Amino acid sequence: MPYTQEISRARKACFLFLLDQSYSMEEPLGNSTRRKCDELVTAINAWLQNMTIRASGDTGIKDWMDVGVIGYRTDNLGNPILESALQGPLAGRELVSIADIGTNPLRIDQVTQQLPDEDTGEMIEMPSEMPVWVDPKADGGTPMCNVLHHAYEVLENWIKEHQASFPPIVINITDGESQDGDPVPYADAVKDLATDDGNVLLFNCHLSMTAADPFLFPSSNEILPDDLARVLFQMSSVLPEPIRNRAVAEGFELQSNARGMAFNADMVALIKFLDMGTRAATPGNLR
Amino acid sequence: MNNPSSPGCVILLVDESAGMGAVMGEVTTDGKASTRSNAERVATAVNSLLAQLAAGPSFDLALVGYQADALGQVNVGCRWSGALATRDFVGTGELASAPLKVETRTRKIPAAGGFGVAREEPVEFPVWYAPALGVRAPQIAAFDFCRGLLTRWLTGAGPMPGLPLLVHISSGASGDGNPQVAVGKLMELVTPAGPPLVLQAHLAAHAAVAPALYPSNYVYLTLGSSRDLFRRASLLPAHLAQALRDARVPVNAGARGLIYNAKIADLIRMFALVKKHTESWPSKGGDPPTADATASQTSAVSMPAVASMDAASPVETAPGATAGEAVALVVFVLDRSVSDPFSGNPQSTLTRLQDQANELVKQVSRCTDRAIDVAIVSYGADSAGQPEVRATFDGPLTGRATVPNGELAGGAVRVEEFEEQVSNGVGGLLTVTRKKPIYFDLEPTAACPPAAGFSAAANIVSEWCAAHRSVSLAPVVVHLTRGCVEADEVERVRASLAAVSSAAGPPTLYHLLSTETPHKSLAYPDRNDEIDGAGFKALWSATSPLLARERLSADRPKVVTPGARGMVVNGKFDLLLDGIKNALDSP
Repeated sequence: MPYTQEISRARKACFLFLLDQSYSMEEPLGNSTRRKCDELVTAINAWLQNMTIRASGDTGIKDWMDVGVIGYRTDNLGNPILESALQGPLAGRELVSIADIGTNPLRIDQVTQQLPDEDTGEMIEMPSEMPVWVDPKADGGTPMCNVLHHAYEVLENWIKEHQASFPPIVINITDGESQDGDPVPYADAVKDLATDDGNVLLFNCHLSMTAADPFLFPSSNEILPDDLARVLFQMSSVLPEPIRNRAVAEGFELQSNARGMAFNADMVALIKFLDMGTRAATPGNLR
Repeated sequence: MNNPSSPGCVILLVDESAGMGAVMGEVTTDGKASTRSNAERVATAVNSLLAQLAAGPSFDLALVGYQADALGQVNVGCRWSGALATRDFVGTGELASAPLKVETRTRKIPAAGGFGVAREEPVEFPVWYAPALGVRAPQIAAFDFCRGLLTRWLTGAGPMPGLPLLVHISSGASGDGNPQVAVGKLMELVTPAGPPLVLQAHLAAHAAVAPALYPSNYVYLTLGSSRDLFRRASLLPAHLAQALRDARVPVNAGARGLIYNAKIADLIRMFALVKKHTESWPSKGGDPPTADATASQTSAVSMPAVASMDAASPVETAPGATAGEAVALVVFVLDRSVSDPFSGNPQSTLTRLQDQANELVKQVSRCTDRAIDVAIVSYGADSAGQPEVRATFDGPLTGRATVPNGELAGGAVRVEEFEEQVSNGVGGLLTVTRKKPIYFDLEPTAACPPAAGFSAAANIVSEWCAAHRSVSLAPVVVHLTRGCVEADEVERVRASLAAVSSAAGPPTLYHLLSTETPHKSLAYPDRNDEIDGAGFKALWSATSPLLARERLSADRPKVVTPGARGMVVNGKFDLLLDGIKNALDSP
């Protein structure tokens, strides 16, 4: 059965995030006063931190996955700029092992978290540290075809060396439509790449400026509100059984052909989406 | 909101049923999972809220608890004690001088990053509310009581009082019937400032289950009781939606005052809405509003949630079939209908059937030396009279249609504990604590033909058969019903199951009847002459012979005859598991 390969040092997982860094990411995310690009990097940084913690053992961080974060935008002439969004010591590297990520954040931010106090029923603030790897950026247009083609090249190389691994998962996070053509054929090319354990999975998350309910993991494009949503639906992989089962166990009501897609996502939906979309290839599976 | 000329009122309505005994295991300031029950933690949150309200402008506050014992004896009322014992509404300005007791408690200040406790501070903690739990949750009685309170309060309220607010804290389904109508009547009360606001807080029984906070569209809620509660919660008015947004809780347009599968942190943030709603009211008795002294401590400023760190994955069971596979499937199909779902009745047929269904699932879960998959289906009518079928588990197993019995013990919606007195064998009584896992947690509905439920059951059976192509025992479907069906409906039920066939033949259909009108108790009847009425007789005709009846009759010749059918009327289906085990062992 595909999509069942256990993750290990010998059979690493691979996650590739494609981050829309176009100008419209300056706008606030639905239900929030923060910019979409700020909320997005908060979610990505939190995800990277969680992965680092999960991979940490007695002997340091286990080198069981490669992660890439590619930002895409254009310059003033409309030329695509595709570059790793990782900053600091990792700047410029496209796929980085989680061990390298864990030991090389750009900086550590101080934040506060809230926890309920058991005896007094109060919410108490707790200082905590948040490592940062990615900073927000918002400029130019949305060269989605270009970034998908770039992702194809990166993954083709990775797969050559990891033929037995759980297939790479690509998560494209955007707030608008492609501005360099129809992205569907490029998405299909990425999804046609495969390891012995199955095809590359492409998940798409659309960030919303409007305060409408998110659609998570739709199974048919009939309920989707517009053409942009239907294009993203077409681009998105059907959730393989192991991921779908986990999502269902988390309380999502999913049809059997549900796709890895979120539309109108707010911060809550984005985090749920990242968590669910990557769960099948994370150390929950590592034995 | 218009400026009220006198304060409104607030009712805190708290579930005190056994369901509140769940321990959700939320992480608290000491960096560990809480080991306290939801009831205890809710009481702490309520007492903390009362202390804060005591420092603000005075208004009328009622603290109402509801519970019923195992026999359905209802206890609903105001929970003030000590000097306030006989009161319903109490001015919040009176609270400070009349706590039940003042405890010294310890505030734990977490260390940076959540690694342990940095500092402990003793604090004076006044306690007004200290509940003892009952068994069932009579929500119809509770909402009727609150409607009475509000109606009386309105007769004494000024010409333009603030908008009354009710916050309902619950752990699960109502125990005395479907409360939709009772809640609706309360929400339709007329007050000068509009209909009362109702906020619903449903507490998680497991911290790992995903919450739904202030949803705006019930289509995106998981099928089940979250949708029921959605209909029983008010639209959030603008000032409360804004307060939540200020606290960085995402709130969409059209959001309801509902938190479902909430943690105590979510409840505390909801309680901040009570303060927000009441802070602009003029103080009762004409006192000027006092400065809000406690605002900073508990104002709910939340960090964005960090993705769940829970790395545990559900236990994967080896799929696929082997030759002559010794695995059984039991599908419980529960009829939710009762003759009057909206009247308070703690001892309806659904209560009895649901208790039996939960007990039978528990028995199967303990039968760990056999492989038995379980599915649960329920059917009833929704508020529009359309069939409403639920065919998956709730709680930790949410969304699963069939679950191996090995996973059931950890998969209950919640586990209730209750005390039972048993004979010690020498003339005395022993009190033992029993655990009752809850899988079915449903409210009664109006009548609905069984066909819809059985088509869902037939789907589950055929999917299971497709995955288990060489089983030695055909699936067993146990229909738990009050039996108010027409003969032709029974025929459709039988036909829909007969259309599915396993490697071991068509499914076995059992019936467990709990009747609304008195009927003689019958166990495994081999004739229908003691069965009253055409509907019951039709059910008997559709019932399969009891599995392994030859072997069972050897042990219990008086109970099980050679022609025994798998039907029990007004009794316990005690041979379900024995029959399945015997049949599995001797294909």
